[in-house]
Amino acid sequence: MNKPQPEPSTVSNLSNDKGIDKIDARILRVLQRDGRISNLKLAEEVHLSPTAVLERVKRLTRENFILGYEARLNPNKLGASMMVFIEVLLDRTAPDIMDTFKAAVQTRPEILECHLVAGGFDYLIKTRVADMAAYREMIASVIWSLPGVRETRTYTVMEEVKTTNALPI
Amino acid sequence: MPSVEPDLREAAAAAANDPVVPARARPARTRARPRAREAAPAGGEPVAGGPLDETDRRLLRILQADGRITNLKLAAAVGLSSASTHERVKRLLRDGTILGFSARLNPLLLQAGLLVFAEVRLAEMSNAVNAAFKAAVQLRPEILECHEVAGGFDYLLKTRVAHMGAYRDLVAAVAWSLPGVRDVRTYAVMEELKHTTALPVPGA
Repeated sequence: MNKPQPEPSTVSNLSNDKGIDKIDARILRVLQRDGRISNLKLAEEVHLSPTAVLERVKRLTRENFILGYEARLNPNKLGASMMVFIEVLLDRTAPDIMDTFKAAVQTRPEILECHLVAGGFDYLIKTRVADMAAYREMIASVIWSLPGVRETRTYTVMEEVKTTNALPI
Repeated sequence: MPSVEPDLREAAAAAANDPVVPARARPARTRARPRAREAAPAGGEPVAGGPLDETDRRLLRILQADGRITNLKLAAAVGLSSASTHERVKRLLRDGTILGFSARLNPLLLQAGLLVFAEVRLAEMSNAVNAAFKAAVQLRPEILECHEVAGGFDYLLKTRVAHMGAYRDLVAAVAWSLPGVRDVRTYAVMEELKHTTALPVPGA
């Protein structure tokens, strides 16, 4: 975010203001879609030599554009087919309560995301569980047991209209 | 992107149906489990589509953490031959347990450093309004997730944008331009306490 932005006039082959050129952007798009693509196929897709592509992927990794690779798993096959969001309101936003909260959410793998938000509540939590009973157990042991939690609101997902981890590039 | 969407939509549709069925009553599991036990003696290969054994779960956990691990290293990590490791990964892909592999990119360096959630309420829950909204959501890559929820609002959106101005443009294009949207509540994320895409894979 506070990365220096290159001047469009001085760096002619930059496709945008992201500090990467068009070919880098294409490489990133392909790797988001297929993280296990071979270097040879990747080279074909972006019309470069394999050596040049390998160099670029190495650079993009070194410069932290690429953080890693992961398998995308099917929640329905893993007893995690129910997605539930939780909004949490604290009594007061004191540093000690926030630290306790932060530590508590790390302990449970069902909690995929937890964000401190600006707005009508304090935390938004995204969880994936097998069913309502599993959700009830999780929220009781992780959230309700914490000091300073005033209110929780539960939103069960009826339909995932769209779910992707791919960033817009 | 379009190539993964049908998978996800299928998964989403199944997810929407699943919660009403208690886990132990799911036909696929009750049917497949005894068969897999007969067919898979100690250390053997489980049946495709059957329940996952502990080795499968270890493979999945490792592949979630490192999607580009070599087959050789993966085999060493789970204590199997490289041939049977390769077979297992192929089976997990074939039966849809593994949907694909992705690079994890850095949003801070790619003009997507601002994470914003939006709660959207529709004026009426008609099929036409729903369809128009869902179509608009698919068009915008800044919208990573959109869920129809049961509760105080209709849709929860997760968006990643460069800055508030970009978010404003997004809302204008997706929500304000549609006739059926009553209101949009915006929640900007100040801190991501936890953010993983890795699913919990049960077992020790």
